[in-house]
Amino acid sequence: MGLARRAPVVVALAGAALLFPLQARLDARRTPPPDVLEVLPPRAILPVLTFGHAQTASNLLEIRATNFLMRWLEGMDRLRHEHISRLYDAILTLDPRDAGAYRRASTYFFSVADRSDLAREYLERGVDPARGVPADHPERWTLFVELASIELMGGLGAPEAERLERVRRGGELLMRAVGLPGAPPELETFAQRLATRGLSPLEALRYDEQRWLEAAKHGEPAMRAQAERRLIEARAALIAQALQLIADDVARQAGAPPADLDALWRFVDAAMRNQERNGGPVPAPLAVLREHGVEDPLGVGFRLEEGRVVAPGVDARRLQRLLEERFLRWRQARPGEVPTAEHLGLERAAPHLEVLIDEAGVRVVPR
Amino acid sequence: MIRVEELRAGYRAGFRRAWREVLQGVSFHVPRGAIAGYLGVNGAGKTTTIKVLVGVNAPTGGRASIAGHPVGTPAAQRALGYAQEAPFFYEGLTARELLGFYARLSGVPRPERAPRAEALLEEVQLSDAGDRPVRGFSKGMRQRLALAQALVHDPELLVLDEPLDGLDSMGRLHLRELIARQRDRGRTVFFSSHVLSDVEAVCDHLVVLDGAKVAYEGPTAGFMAQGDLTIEVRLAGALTADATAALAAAAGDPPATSGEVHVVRCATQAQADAVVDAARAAGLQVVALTPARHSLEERFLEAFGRPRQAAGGAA
Amino acid sequence: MSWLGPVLAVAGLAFRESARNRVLHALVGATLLMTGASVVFGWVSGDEQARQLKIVADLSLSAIALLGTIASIFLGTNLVYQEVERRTVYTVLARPIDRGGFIVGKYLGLAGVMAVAVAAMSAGFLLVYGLAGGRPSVGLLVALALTYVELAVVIGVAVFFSVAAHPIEGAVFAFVVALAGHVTADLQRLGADLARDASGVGVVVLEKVLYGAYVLLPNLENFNVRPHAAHGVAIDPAHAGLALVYAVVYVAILLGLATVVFRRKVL
Repeated sequence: MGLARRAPVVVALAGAALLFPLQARLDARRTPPPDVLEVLPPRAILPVLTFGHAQTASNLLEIRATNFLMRWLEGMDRLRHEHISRLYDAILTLDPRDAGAYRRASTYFFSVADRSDLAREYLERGVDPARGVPADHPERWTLFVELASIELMGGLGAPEAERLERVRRGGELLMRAVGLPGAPPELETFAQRLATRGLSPLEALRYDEQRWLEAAKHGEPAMRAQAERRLIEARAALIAQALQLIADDVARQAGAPPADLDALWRFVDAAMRNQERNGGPVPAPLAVLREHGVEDPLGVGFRLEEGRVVAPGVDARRLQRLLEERFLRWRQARPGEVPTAEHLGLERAAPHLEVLIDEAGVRVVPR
Repeated sequence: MIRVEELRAGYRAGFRRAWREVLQGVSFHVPRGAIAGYLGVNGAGKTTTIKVLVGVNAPTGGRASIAGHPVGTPAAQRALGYAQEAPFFYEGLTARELLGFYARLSGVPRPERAPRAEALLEEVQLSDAGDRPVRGFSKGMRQRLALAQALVHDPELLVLDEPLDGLDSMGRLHLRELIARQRDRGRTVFFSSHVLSDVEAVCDHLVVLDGAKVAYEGPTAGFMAQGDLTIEVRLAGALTADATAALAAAAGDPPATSGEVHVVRCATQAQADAVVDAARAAGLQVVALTPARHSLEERFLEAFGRPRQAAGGAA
Repeated sequence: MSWLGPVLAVAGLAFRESARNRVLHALVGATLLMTGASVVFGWVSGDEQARQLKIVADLSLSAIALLGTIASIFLGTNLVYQEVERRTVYTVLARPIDRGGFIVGKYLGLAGVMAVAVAAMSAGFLLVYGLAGGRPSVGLLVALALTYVELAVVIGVAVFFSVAAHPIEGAVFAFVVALAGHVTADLQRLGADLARDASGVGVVVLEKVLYGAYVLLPNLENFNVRPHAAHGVAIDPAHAGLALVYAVVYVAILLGLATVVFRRKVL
């Protein structure tokens, strides 16, 4: 009787004690995980199976992915990379708007798996508003930054030509982040600096021209009109730079710069004919001029002043834009005050331009 | 057959599950072969006692045994059959299925189960209803089925908790008869009630519980002798004014009348005779002549049934 | 063995009562529907047959486990409570059966019903699987069997709460335990990671507590070889055997605890 009364307690306690060795043995025998990673249904069907809780499922899966990463970070092999890839495919199928998930996936593939191709693939899927993060998502810009950093980091240690190309592409990608919701304003300067870093001025300008050409072809009508104006400026600057290079060349060979623009054009003409006759690679400045015509197709009024090719109208507009922005920033910091040209970082204006600064803003006019 | 010594038991009641010890040292003895009534007002602890006797709950103190076996042991439980107050069943099962289940539970060998169930259904007049789910049973049918399930393993002792409660007079009569019959089969019966007349009608032994203690234990006659005898004469027929006067003269009190039925209470046998004569003369039919020891009931209530707080129904 | 008869009688009755429960019928029906629907999901996912079969297996096994858990908890948490509430327990306990035997009987009855239910659901699944062109593997059968073993533990949890709590609370507790039973491994891993990365008494204690919870809470992942089966990964027979032993031990603990609690009750 006494024993019978105590039996349940004894059973419970003895059983609880038995659980420890039993569980240890079970853990030891655990077959390697056909983890959720492996048994995940195909992407096509996945959203159906979550019965309206795709986002939740996506989050849960990402917890799984993170756990998996934490657990296997050391000694990751190719197979496991594929698991992560499958897992992130699932996560992003379930919630394609999750900018963070694209970013984390790319970080993983770029920094852990050494697969910049896959990292780029995820980000490219993410920045496509049709397939990935919507255009007005406040984090979409970060994906461009990630893409840019893949380019920049990938260029380190590469041959010079490739490095420069990557730097330029990185800048280009950063430029795409500029102006997106949430993107910090400093980004633009940084991007511009990157986009032109390591490029010859001509290349940089050519790149600028290409950028506005793209913008003028695509995008909102209002944006297009703006881009067309900027394209003219970019081309003018490009042509001016090409002419400048030839002028410098003439000055080097003849000991003095061409007397005026007409003289310069005559040199250009001679150089082109020379090149046609002799064959061989076309020097970059000539290529620019051949492409855009040898006169002044845009009618910006190029001039040669003290050996420098200037386009007063265009130069004024470009300088004005730059100063306007600095002016605004200055005014934001010190309301009511009027900055001087030095305050705006202008050491010395080009002689063909006049800078006027007052309460209303900055105006740059050609002399 | 039943021996209870200094038994203490109680139950938890109310929202706070406070412990209420309703039995504080109860002792009594029920001899083999007796039909013993266990009397007490509602909440006195009758059901608490019975739950201990049949082994549903363990006592908090004292001892109790059935046929020499401590309560709660399988031997004690095999010796008794129990029908609870206002019986509850697995409503989806039929009477036959239920009896089969209880027989199996009590260890009745398989071949004996069906015949026993059949015989018991016959005995409690439920043969026709044997294959119907209990869900549709009336109160009387349920009480009879409860008796049948208590008898299914042919126990020496029958413990019935308020078996007559809530039955109409026909049902009461029938069940009393069934209980009385158990004595003829050599069984001991122990049943609780808060209605003295029921106990009196069938019991030869009485245990009266009051104030958490046993107040009387012994032959029913002994308890009854303490009171006065009255005889109830039940008459039927149309009552004229003359007849009423004659009956009142004979009995000392006018008859209590309900339609065509009239009841006259007499204090002595002589009065009863006079009443019967007067009734016959008035053309009334004498339906029954019952020794209605009415004053005993009053005595019971007077002595033990002091108004007390109702016990929340769970006793 | 005289105690066995009454226990089996209670088991038989519990079986009969639970088998008539409409909720169980509905859940078994729902599972069969899910199994049928899994074929459609399979089609949608492409025309590679292996993939379709995997989806059928995946979904059906999950449905059996999930709806089986719901059924077990729903029926189990009512099991003893209802007997007390409807006072049918008295006429049973007045007979030569101990409260522990009563609980064991109730448990066996429901475990029996769920065995039939799982068998029915499994039959439906294997039929669909066969019609979809699959050949049931040993792994699938083992996964189904271990799914039932998992439910047997869940029933134990439910029966315990049926004694210790009101059915609604009991069902909530049982669900929490059943859910926790699938994540304790993650918790324990979390504790181990913490302990590896940080030091201090607090972390050590936390790790021990998490490990204790991991071992002491029913670890239902021990029975989960459904992914193995669906994916055609071999199942270690020793693991399956150990899991079975684990279930027996765990159910014994639960029924022991349920008995201890039930015996303390004054009915």
